[in-house]
Amino acid sequence: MNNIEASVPVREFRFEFTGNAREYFGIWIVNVLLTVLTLGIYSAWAKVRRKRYFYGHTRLHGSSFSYLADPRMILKGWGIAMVVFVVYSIVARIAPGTKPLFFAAFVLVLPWVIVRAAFFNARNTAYRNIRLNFDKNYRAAVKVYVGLLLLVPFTLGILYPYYAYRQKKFILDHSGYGGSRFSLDVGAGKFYGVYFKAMGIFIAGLLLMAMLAALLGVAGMSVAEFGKVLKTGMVTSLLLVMVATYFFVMVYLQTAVANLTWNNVTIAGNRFHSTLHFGRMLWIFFSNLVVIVSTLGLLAPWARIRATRYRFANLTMCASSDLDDFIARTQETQTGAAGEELSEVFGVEIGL
Amino acid sequence: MISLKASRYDGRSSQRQEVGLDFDEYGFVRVHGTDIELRYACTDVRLAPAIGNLPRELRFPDGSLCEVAPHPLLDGLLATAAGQFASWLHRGENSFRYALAALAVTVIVVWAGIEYGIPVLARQVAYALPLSTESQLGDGALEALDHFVFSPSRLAEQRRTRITTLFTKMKRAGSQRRDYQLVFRRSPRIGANALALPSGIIVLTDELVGLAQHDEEIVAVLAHEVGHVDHGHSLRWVLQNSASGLLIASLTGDILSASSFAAALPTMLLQARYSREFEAEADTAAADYLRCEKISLTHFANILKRLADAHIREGKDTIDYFSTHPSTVERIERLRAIALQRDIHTP
Repeated sequence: MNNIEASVPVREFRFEFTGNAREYFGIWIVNVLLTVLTLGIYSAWAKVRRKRYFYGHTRLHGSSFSYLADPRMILKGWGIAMVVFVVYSIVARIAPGTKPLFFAAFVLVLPWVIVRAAFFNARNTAYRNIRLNFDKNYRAAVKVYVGLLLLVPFTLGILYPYYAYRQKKFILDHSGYGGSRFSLDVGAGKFYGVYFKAMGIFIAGLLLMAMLAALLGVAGMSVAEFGKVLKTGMVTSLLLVMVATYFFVMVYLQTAVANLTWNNVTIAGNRFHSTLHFGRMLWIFFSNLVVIVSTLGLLAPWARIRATRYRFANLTMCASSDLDDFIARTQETQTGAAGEELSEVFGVEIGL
Repeated sequence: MISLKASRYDGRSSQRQEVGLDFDEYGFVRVHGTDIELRYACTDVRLAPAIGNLPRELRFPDGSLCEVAPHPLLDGLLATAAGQFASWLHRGENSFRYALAALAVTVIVVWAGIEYGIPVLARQVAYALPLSTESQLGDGALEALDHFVFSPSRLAEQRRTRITTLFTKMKRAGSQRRDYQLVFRRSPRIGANALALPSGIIVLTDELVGLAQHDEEIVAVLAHEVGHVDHGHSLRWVLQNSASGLLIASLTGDILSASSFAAALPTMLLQARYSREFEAEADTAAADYLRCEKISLTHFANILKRLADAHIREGKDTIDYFSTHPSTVERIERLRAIALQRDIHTP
């Protein structure tokens, strides 16, 4: 902190999510119905309505966000993604030998997909009638998403946290609002810290599994009938520990990476403060999963609203100004949605 | 004249201005506030479709935006981009009764799709495609299996010839859809088993032959496998699983990404369900053949029972939570029902 920064009075603006489950349920069920009846065509309009609802209810300093995508563009992108998905799933089943080929092609188009998706999302997100923007730097994308990604296996995964860090940095450093750029000001070391802790959780899970497996070995040698019952119980608990470990690691990574990223992002002298709590996140994710599965998806809208509300309730902007000084920057707005839809179908994580 | 309060963002800076909107009876709207005095024709103003109870967005030709609290007359004053459909949609989304109706229709459509739509479509497509398509599915499958799970059969030549003769007879009696081929393999790994590969190759393990106490039992198993091939099950399996995967993805796409944890569970359940249907279809085909040959279904039931016992004994079934085969008890019950029906119909 230097003197000039310290002298600027910092104001705190809380993010706030005001959506409610009852209202969203109606939007969701109509979306699902029309999507099914139109064999998926409506999903483009459904996505726009859903996002408009969520963006519109996300508020910061008295104004809300807007989602501006044109459903027809999304439909086109969705069509391309579907063709790719269907060809992939059928060919991969008929000739499993082609999987490496698909993987190679996937790695090669990944930078393109990521850049297009990030651009599409940024240009269709607005706050106070000014759109976010994204610089389409394919060269930098290839460095991160092909170069680094291919190095990861050769370093036995040791490079992975660095790769994760560079991913975040690539997206944020190329995103902007108005004439200002976001910037992620943190070293890769912090990311290693987060991934080491995740590794710790994973190893604890493995130890627990090893213990159970050892017990299983003992049980296998014991009296036939009793051993059999015990064995089934052991196998069940082994599976449970496995799933739980996976769950803990995933939620921990999501929480810690989100906090780390937001707490180190700046834009035009404004900072953010994210206070997501691991235990709380664990509870929300777990209870959401239980509720969604046990209501056969019926309460999914409620779960989604609840998770979003928690996330934004824990995000604050530490602003050095009144947020009035951002000036619009001209960048083309129309862009294909193929990248965005491909990344969604194949589960590529982008976004902040 | 209608006057509304609005927040205005000019689209050039991130400043917010509080303004008033006056809609006059000549089709114009006046935007006024501190230092602002603007007039637009209503036909030039675009009103974004309403969603929930969110403020309505009015976009002006100069790129500015006004946010207004929802007002019942707005849709009449300004043209919505999506027109009548949008307001109908909005009404549907906000009515509890419509939401319930939508829910009911969704459940029925999804259920019908999973139960009838996808299987019927998959069958039509599978039967319409040339036989070579399905054969390609199995190309290289035997080589792969030989490499990983099978070793050469150690059955006596005589025994093999005997079974092959029985199989050839079945080929002649059954449908002539394709060339079947029977191969023998040994596999301590998968134990007593028989497999039908899409190309029409049927694999019989030494362990299964050893388990059978009568030739009729082997005939029953072979007839079951031929049933799989005859009904194009492997191609239908691929088609149905792709289609149901898409359906699940489109349903849960609003909730989770297609690759996530919670989406995998229903997909797995559906796959298990479809393969149970295929097993039942193959069982019926086998029962039909056995009846033609005047072989008692008891033989089929016996070998099923012994197979199940063998698998439990070897501990191969312990982790089979999502068993793709219907339970043996269930299958034997079904065979008994088929036999009973036949007894009534055949005097």
